Amino acid sequence: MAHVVLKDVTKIYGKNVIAVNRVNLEVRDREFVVLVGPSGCGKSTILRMIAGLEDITEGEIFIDDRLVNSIQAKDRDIAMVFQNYALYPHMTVFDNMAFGLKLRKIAKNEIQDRVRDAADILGITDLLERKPKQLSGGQRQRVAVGRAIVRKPKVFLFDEPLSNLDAKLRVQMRKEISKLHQKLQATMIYVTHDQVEAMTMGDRIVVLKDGCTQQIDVPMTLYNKPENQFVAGFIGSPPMNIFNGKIVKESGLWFDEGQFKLKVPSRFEKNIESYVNKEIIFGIRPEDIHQSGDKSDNEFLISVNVNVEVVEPMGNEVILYSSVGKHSAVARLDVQCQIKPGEDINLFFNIKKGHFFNAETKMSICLEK
Amino acid sequence: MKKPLIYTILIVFVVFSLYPFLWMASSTLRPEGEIGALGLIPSKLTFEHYKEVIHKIPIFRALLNSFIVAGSVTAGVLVFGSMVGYALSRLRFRGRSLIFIIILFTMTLPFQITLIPLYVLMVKFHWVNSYLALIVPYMLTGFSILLFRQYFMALPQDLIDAARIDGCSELWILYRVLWPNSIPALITVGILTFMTSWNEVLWPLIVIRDRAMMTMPQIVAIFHIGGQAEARLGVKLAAAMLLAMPVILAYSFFQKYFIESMATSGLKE
Repeated sequence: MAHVVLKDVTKIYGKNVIAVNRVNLEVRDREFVVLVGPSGCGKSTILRMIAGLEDITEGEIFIDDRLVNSIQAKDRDIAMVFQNYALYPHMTVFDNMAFGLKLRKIAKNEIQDRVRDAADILGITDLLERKPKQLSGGQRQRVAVGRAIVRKPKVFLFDEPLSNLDAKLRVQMRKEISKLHQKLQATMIYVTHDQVEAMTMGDRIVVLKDGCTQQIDVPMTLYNKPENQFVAGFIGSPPMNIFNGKIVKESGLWFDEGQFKLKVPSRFEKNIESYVNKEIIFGIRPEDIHQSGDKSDNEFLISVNVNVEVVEPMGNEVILYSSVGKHSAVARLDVQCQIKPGEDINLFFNIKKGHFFNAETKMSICLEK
Repeated sequence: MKKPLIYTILIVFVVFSLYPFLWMASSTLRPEGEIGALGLIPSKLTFEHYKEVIHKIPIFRALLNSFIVAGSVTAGVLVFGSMVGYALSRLRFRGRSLIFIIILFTMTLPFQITLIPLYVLMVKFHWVNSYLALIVPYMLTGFSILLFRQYFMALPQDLIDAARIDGCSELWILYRVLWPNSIPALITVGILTFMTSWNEVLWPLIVIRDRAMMTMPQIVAIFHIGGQAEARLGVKLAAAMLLAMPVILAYSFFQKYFIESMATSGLKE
């Protein structure tokens, strides 16, 4: 297995369309790294550059300490799974999986063994004689994964492999790819726009926007300590609530949204003090907004009056969409709540769990180190 | 519209287009004196006209020549046309668009313009009176390049990427991955190229003098206007019938694909 290193990798299309901007990344041996971001953020371009399907404008890519910039895709010892499977329509499942091995002149009986083994792992032994068009979406994706496995590559690359599957199958395949990673102990780089996939599958996640890395970290750190407003808004579903306002000083520091004020707890004042009378962004996750005030750390719970717009019962919880001032607020509430749309109610913001961002740089002003 | 009306109109059109051909077919089997009649059933069957044609001109040798020429031209166009079409659709290189524009431009040139330069070239190569003169200039056409390029552009890029990662060279991608998935395009280009080559008269007339090297349309044309038919309609029609026969047979075999390819014109699905 192998590690992959990207040094200042840049991709420029035409004269001045920068798709990927100075990306640095080290994927360790046997690690599962997820590249995530909205469409057009350059995540697929990065993957295609690692695969050798796309030229690198600037920077260097190493696979196992070997500079691969000018090495062809077929000689990089990587395998890739594509979003629309990219199975060869004219070949049977067996031939699809064996094609790469045949081209590498591997002995016939070994090809047989490897394809059978991979088919066993993926549960597609019965399908080996079929053509791709006789398979369902999930089966096709298994074959595509199988085609990668039989090659025993140094690095597996996945380009949004689950996007074409229906919701239920996606959850199932997500689990299976995670299991496969544990079983094969291989280095995997996985591209997705779905932050749930990123959170659930990745050992580490790379969040990208406009070709630049925003943050590289383990899932829970991304969730709990986003370095900027973009990461905070992108990771988590429903996304973090964002309020623009400013800090005012009147017997302590307050975040003033216009419609409501939140008292900044005294022990956070040191970080916030320099922002007095300046624009600032406050963010709070839906689960840190509560319906009642009597929680254990109620010193930080601040009541805010909101107008309820939509109530979505999810079975185990209720997602409540409301408006407050010129902003909207989403809260994740207990399933027992009896709130109706149109009501004016008080919700309690747990400011201890809140995040402050610089209004200009959008960078986090960390409250708790 | 009501069905009987549609059928009536269709039948009228079929009769209009079929009658001249049927008239020709029946005339070849009549004695010379009867040929002026408009009816389709001969009063007396005779194969004299055919015997005379076969006796007077090496028609079977010409048939073989035509097959060799049209077959080689078609094979060449499929192999080289798809190569260029692939390069223009999927490979990135400097001047790609310019090359494509030039190729499109060649399609607008009538053959009569390139005829003389091409003939001079054939003379310089010492290819006159050989298969090479009939085959090589036709082995790559702008039309086939255009059609393959358009067809390949509609195939998913991922398919090519997957093959590249699997270890295919560019030629292997073309012949082992794209060809099997481009059957309609191959058939369209194949049929149209074969027909065009089969029916070509002007070029063979210019580069071939030796009767043993002549193609069928050429030898029949020479037979018609060269005085050998002695102005008799029967033998002329019999020669024309022999010329048409292979195309009709081929059409009846391939008609399914032919109609399909004409209808889709190389479009996907």
